Amino acid sequence: MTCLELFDYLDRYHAGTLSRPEAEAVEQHLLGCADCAADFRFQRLLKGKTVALPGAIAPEHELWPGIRDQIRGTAAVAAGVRPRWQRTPWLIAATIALMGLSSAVTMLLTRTGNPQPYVGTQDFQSTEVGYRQAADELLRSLQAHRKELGEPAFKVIEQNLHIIDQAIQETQAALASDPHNQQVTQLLWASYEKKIDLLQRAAHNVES
Amino acid sequence: MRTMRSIPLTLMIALAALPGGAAQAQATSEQRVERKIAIDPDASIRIYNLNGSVRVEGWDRDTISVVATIGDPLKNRFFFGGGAQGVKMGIESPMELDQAPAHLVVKVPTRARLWIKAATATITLSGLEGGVDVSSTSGNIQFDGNPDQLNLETMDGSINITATGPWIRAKTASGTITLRGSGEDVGATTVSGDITLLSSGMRRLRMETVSGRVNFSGPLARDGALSAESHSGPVDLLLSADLAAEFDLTTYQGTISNGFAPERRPLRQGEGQELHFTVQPGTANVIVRTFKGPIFLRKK
Repeated sequence: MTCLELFDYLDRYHAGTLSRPEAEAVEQHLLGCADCAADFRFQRLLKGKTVALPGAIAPEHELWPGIRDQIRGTAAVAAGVRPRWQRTPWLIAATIALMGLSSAVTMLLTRTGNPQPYVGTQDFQSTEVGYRQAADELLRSLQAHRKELGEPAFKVIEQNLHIIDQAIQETQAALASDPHNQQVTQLLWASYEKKIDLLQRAAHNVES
Repeated sequence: MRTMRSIPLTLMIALAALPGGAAQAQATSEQRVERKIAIDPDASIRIYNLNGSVRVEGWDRDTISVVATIGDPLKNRFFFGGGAQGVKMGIESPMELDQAPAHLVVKVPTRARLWIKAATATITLSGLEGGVDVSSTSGNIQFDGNPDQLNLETMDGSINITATGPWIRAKTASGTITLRGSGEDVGATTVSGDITLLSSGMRRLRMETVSGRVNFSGPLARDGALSAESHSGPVDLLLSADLAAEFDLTTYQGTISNGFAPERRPLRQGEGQELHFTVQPGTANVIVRTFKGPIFLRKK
């Protein structure tokens, strides 16, 4: 299992939904990879914090500063001069931090007993702010490394971000007139997650 | 076992100094390098080549073999290192994204675990049965094999997969994804690229896009689960006529066309439509969600 493959398993590992062989593969990788082990501990810490929160408290008040600090902290380490393929994967660390945010959002939604908070509620606003902050942070990081990604690739990402932003705007407009629509709310979160996923993948392209 | 063969740089420079001729020019612009070492059948292999091409073929030998053709060898260097458990190879260039194209032809044990990083390089993979993880920016990726685990990502390149495996993932931004074969757990995600899945038997299947088209055709396992999600792209499912499943289709502003069970008519739901029905015994699940993309349900 490679470090990148581990990403797809960690959330499910934390959730206890992996098969035994998959879980053992994750553990084996963590035993042999200090970087992933550190990230894993960070995720577990995040999970511990979110579990301790009461259901009505918005996650970013507790989580976001830590996530932001983690991103900035790891970003500060990133200015090495090693070859491109050997650099410290600070954006990967940021990605994992954002996975923690995603998990926190998911857990919040699960714990409230109401699968999707309605527009105008604090839960809804908190969740949306969390997604926006996560996306903005990744985009800022990516813009700082625009040259390394390459201008054509950056334009592709911009075009696709524009498509996602349009989808978000249309969904938000629909929710403004139909605020209790659970499925549209789900589509809104899905669009945010696609935006973050796209930015994460672009980050991997810069650093992996 | 270890062999090494390369054209000496001094020879190439000497050739370049001779008067005229494309052959000489070619000799100075490219360098051919070969490496071959014994490795474990499930060795980890990392390949790094931003531009040009990477071709990896699985073979029934406990050996890794590579033939590298390197553009602009005065600036670019082929590196190759490792041992029985793992090998790392690629092109190191001060030009980074402007690296002159290099072409790698690699043969690996079929069960090897493979990791490839590229930018614009075309990637072609065949005969592989281990874990495969490929990340590219704009290069096209083609895979043909039965991988234990397959994860392919590119931004605006296309992904073309013919595979059978327990776990398959493909992701692009604007690139298209085409997948033929079967899988226990299959995921395809794009932003604006089209997704086409031609199933010969899939169990868990998730297709997601924002504005691309989603096309699925073929059988779904009896206890399978198919989900498709799109904002504005159309979702077209061509399903086996004998599929017994619970269907749950919703579009907020789009339309639903039901040619699978035409007696079941979609209900009006605001500006959109929804359709829920079960074909007994209904052990499989088909779930589609769109915001405004039309949904087509058809019978094969």
